Amino acid sequence: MSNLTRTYGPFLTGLVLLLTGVWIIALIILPQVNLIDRAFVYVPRGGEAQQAALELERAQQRIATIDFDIRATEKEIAQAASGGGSAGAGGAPSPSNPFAPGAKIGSSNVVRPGMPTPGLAPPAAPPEQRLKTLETERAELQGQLGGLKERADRLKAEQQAATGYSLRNFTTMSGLHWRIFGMTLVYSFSVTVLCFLVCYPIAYAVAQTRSPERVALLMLGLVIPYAINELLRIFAWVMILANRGILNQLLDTLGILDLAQGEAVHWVASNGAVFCVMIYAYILFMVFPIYNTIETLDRNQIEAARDLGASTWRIHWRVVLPHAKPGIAVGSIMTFMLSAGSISVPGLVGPGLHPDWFSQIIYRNYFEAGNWNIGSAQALLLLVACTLFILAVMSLFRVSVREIAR
Amino acid sequence: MQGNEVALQDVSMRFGDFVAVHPTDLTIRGGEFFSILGPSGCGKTTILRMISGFLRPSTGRIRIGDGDVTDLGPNRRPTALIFQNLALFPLMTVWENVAFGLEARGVPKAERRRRAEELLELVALPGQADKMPAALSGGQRQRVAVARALAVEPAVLLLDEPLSALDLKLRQHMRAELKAIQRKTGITFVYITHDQGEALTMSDRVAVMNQGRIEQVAATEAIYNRPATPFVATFVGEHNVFRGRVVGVANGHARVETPAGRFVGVNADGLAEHDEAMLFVRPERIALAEGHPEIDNQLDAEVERRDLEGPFVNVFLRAGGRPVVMHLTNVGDAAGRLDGRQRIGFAAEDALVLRAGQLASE
Amino acid sequence: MTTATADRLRPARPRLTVDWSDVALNVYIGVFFLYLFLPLLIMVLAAFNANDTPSVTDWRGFTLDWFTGRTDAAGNLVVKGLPQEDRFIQGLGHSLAIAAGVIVISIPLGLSGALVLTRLETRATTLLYTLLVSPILTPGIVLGVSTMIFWRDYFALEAGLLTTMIAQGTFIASYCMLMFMARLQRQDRVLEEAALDLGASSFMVFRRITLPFLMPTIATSAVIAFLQSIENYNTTFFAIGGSWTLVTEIGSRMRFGLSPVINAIGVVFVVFTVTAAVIWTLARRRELARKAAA
Repeated sequence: MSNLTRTYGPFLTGLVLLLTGVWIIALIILPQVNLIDRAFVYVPRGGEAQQAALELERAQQRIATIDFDIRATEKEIAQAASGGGSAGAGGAPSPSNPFAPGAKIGSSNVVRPGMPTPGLAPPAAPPEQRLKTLETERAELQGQLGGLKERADRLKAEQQAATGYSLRNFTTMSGLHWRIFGMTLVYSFSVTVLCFLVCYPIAYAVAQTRSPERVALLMLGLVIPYAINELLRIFAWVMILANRGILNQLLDTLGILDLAQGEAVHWVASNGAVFCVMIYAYILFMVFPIYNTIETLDRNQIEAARDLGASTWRIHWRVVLPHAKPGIAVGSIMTFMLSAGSISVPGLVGPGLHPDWFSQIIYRNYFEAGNWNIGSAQALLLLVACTLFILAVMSLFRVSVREIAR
Repeated sequence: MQGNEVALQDVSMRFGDFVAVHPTDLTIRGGEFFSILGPSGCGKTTILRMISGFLRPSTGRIRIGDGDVTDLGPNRRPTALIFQNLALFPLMTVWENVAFGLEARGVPKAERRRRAEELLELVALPGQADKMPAALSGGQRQRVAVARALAVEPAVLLLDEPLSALDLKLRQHMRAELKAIQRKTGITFVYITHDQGEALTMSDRVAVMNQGRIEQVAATEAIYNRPATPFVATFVGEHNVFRGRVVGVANGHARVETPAGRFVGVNADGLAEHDEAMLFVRPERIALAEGHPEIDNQLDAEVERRDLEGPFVNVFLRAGGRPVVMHLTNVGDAAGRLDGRQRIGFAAEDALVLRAGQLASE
Repeated sequence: MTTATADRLRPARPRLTVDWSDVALNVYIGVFFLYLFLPLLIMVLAAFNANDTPSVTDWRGFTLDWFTGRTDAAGNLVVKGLPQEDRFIQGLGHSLAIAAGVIVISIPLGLSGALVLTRLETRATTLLYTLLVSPILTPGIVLGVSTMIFWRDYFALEAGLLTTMIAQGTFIASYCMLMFMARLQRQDRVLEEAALDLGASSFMVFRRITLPFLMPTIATSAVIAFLQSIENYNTTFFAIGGSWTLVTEIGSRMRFGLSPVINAIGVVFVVFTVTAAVIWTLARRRELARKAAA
């Protein structure tokens, strides 16, 4: 502390500490704590409280819609009064909010209060009469609103009083979802291992290249695809794997398939395709860390080992690999973390055609089912899996956090 | 300009359990060239950093001139420090470096530039103002550092072994120059070094430090001729040491029984009979005693080796199982042929008897 | 080079024969780069194909329509090209706004974190370090959702550009911090002491000594933060709510089938990337050469 204040004075030191504190607390810790908090609070779905809330919301929405229609009808009357004007105004679109919470939750057994939508209102009825009907309906709804609100609040309070922390978000997860979770981890691990096997010789070869021009060229060759957007790299592969894509065209040319007859291999409908594209998308995250460590290896060590008669295999096993350990650890952690948490590859390679990946399940819970707490529980599972993987790699390779993030 | 006095009252510094500087009183007079001499880790840099304000003493007060500066930060003290590695700002030109302290004081740019040129003139670096520090030689960088420190017109200039990176010839040249600048400006110089040659040639007074304590503060001659402790005696210059026990005292002298014989020396610590003592004799005060019965202390020794050092011959002998070194002036050819068993001796006035204690070589 | 003993120990190998392991490695490198570049090449070529499903095999003639759009004689739009795709153009605007915000967030945060970790030696340093790099090691989607729900739960902030900025800033600041730490560890701390000793105030020390020293790193951090932000998909996708960026728009377009306009965007990206990478490589080589000369 005195170290910082002595140099930068109390004001700058305070600012530095404040910024770091805000970063740690507001950006790193609290969001995760909130996620964990939600993960352990179970919110029963389709229960009375939720239905009451839903009914209340629908009533409010309906009132808003009626207000809109009332205004439209009044305008119509005014226009009619001023002479002329079309009678089609009743068909004006009603306001809709696709992002309104609960909009997609509705199940068939829920009775929607106040049905016919204004667009379907009999156009034959004179506007004055319609206005009257609308106003009666509005008043009726307004009368119900108080009761609905009171009931929804009461049920919500009861439910909140009843919900403590529990493991139900995890225990209610279906066997299918657990299987998907497991498969995602297995796939991610395989991606990591394959990426390592493919990348190690490349990283070694680039690091051992002596001519600076050649190194620059090879590095360019690695940096360019690395810097091009992940989505575009995926897009390029989707072009290849699509039903009428390059791969099937090639098979057609070879006479194996007949695209004209509608024959096609549905590559993108398989997890294998997702797996292949994932390797392509994340392979360079493995190359650079390994390259960076091998590059620091003194070439004389390899020469010395060779002079002492060591085989190529032994040189790698005893000299190069031990030296590259921190790089391999970093590369593995990054590749695994990116694969396990990837929404881009499974979401964009044959969307909806192949079995789900875990990231997609999380997405559905947040943005389609609107069940944030189960989504949080699943996000937490993913976070825990990645943390365990990092710890396992750290202890296996005997590297510290400081060596990992450099 | 006259530099200010620096006074340390009961100043100490501890880092956790480690005591870097034991409670110390020290007064550095205004306008003197003062050196603090000691081996690495003796606490001399800690004292310097406390005077400059980078360290706050654990106990005690520091006064510069009439003001107590103990609670002031380094930027509010009338001191300037020349760092061991000089610490020139690499991203600024030479003149910006020199004028940095003036910039901090809000001096307008034109005036800063003018002052910088003047100071560069003073340190014999004219015409280098617009270069970057990296483009200068080691000696030139040294001068820039001195000019930068002088620019803030400090009352006290602190120097932390600034010459240690230079080669021998340049170092000797810079010693003379620093001394000249000190004379010219009249600023109090506090110079930290582990090199006794530097301390003795430049300073008015020297403090010798060991293990967080100041062992002696005195003028250079006194440090050399009348060391106060066994440590100072052996750290500054060379000394032959004879350990033993006092067997008699008289007229400010003491007789000491040692394995090499009984010798008389000046009883500087006022020892009494039976006290454990050390007797110190400079190698250049030992002479061949054959045919000189008037020499007070005499002993027989075996010549083991002779090293010719130009004006001197260093003769290494052994007496009573202990090594003895003798410097003989290289006149005539007696010294060059010295061999075998010899009778050597030294005057009682040239031998110093001190209470037994720690030596510098231990 | 090799000693006589070593030559004897080594299996005899005639000098002029081909080293097959070298050949195999070179072939492998060749195949690897083909694997990296062939899909990108296909993507680039298809951008110039008049076929409205992106393809290189089904070639219907060279066209630039996907880049420019095409209107008939009467001025009606016949082919919708990049400039007519409003959502892409708006998405680019959103991306740039987010990137600017991320730079503003992550550089001060990263620098503060780096100063705390390099200058403040406390027993908690390792814990702090782990905390501050953890966003890099957290899956992007977790970062995205946790930020999104946190700001909505506690500040009623709806998912959108701002939450995306915060979510991206959280982990991009960690990258910036690592760069600042590397730089600060090479700083000669005595320079700051020297400035203080000459009477500089703490602000002046920061402005004249620390900041100029950090300037190159601030510049590279800004570039890296900008690129990371523009490119980000996984975190953004979960934090952006109803809004969109260029990249999420590419994503949602891909869900509804392939369009050559995406190829056109791809070509723009490739051109930018290649140009930037070549300039960077040349600049780096010049700097290395200058260092070698000095």
